[in-house]
Amino acid sequence: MTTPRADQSGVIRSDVTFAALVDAGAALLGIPLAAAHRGEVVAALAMIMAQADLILDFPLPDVAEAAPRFRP
Amino acid sequence: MAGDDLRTIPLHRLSATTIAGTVAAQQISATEVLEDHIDRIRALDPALNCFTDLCLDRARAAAATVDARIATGECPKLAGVPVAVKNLFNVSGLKTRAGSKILRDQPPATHDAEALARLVKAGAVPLGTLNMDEFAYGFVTENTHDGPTRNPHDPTRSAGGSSGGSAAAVAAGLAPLTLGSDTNGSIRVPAALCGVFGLKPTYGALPREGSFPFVDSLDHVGPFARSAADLAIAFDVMHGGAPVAPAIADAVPYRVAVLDGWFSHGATEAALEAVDRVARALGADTRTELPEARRARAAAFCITAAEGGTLHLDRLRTRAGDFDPATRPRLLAGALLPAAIVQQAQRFRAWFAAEASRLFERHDALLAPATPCPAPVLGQATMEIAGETVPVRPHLGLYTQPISFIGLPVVVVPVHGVGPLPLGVQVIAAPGCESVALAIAHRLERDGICAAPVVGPS
Repeated sequence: MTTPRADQSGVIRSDVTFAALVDAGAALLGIPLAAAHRGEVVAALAMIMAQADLILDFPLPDVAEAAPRFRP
Repeated sequence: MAGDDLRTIPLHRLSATTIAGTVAAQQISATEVLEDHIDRIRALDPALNCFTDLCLDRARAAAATVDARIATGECPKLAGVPVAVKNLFNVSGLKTRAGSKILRDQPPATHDAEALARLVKAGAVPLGTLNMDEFAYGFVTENTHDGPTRNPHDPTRSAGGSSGGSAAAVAAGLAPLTLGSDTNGSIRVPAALCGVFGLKPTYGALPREGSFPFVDSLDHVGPFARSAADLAIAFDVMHGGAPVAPAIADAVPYRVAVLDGWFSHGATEAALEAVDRVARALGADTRTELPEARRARAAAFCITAAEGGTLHLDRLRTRAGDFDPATRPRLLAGALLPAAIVQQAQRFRAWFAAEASRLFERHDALLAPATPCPAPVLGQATMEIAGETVPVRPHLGLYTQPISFIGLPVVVVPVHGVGPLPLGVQVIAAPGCESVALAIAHRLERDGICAAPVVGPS
């Protein structure tokens, strides 16, 4: 189990949050998630969210535009 | 190379440039070169597991065609150079596995991928396809369906990934030139761990048509070879723009700096020593920082999971059980990632690219380790670095991910002798400046700092 942590807004997140997102998201997207796969998906989501926090925590100016196709 | 040397050096030890020159000069035939490489593959590949499919009938016909072209006075740039490609590139007549079980249900490809087609048109001889992590989502080439590719320097260790077959084949002398793809480090990590040269070009510089995608925002294709000159000629043939190969030996002074901060955090002493050796040889005594590289790595991580998960959504719905267990959880989790995260990562990308462009106002090239450590043992889950236990698989891409995130061209140069296994250093240039990175790699090779000798028995 990962340690629950507070994000910038003070919301406490834990594996319970990740499991809830996995269940709701899989239902929403029509993915019949096998019971045997659920735990590893929750763990993977927690790992990705730990990285996502580094992005969500970073203040960007309103004018910062997305670069979905990077043009060097 | 003199004709005398050709009688004493096995053909599988020659560079692509030497092969092309001697075949074009009719000192050896493309067919002789091919048969020597086939013998080498038969001798070594059962243990190394680089190749997943061979196309030897086609290769023999192609070699004969090259010899016939030369007899009529043609002089193709890659005359008789055996080439093999990661199995996500279409090769006419072979199934494009992309490392998966699922895509094996598809019919064989009817055309070559564009990058391969350009090599073949220039006289290269296609041998077959090479092992990889499933759907290119990994850094170790421990593929559940096809088995692991073994590192020619130590078969108990990983070749790196996801283009592990491509790097190991070049290191072992099974082919002088291979193609791979790099989304987060999949050319640079295996090139480093197998001790060969690899080029991840500028995003968009080489054609991806006919290669199975992973992450549209980040996918690059590029070559592996045993010299910078070979990378340059392969790049020129596939790129089709102003050639870089003729200029790599020019004595242009370059302003080179070592990347500090994130790019030394968590590295083994050997990885840092490899960078120091390269820096000293280039007279690069400046250190500089690429700000927020850790967040850049995080952003690439999130975009990769989300785009990869979305690409495979239908297959995850219907055939989740047929995915590699190493790949499935991350793709499933990525498909469920809230859009705000991906959008924010893409917004951060533009910010980070602007920071990088500022560095290139003062420097022509930047140096960083390719990996934090040498090749891990196959199956190894964690490792100790500076007293900290870290997971092996994601850790291998720490220093490559921030760079591909913004599409900068990189040549990985192999450094031997800093430990029992080779390591690689990233020579990073400004967008569109492959020639700078290749020229620096060539200089390091000329000065004896970097080399990629064939590994294994003669």
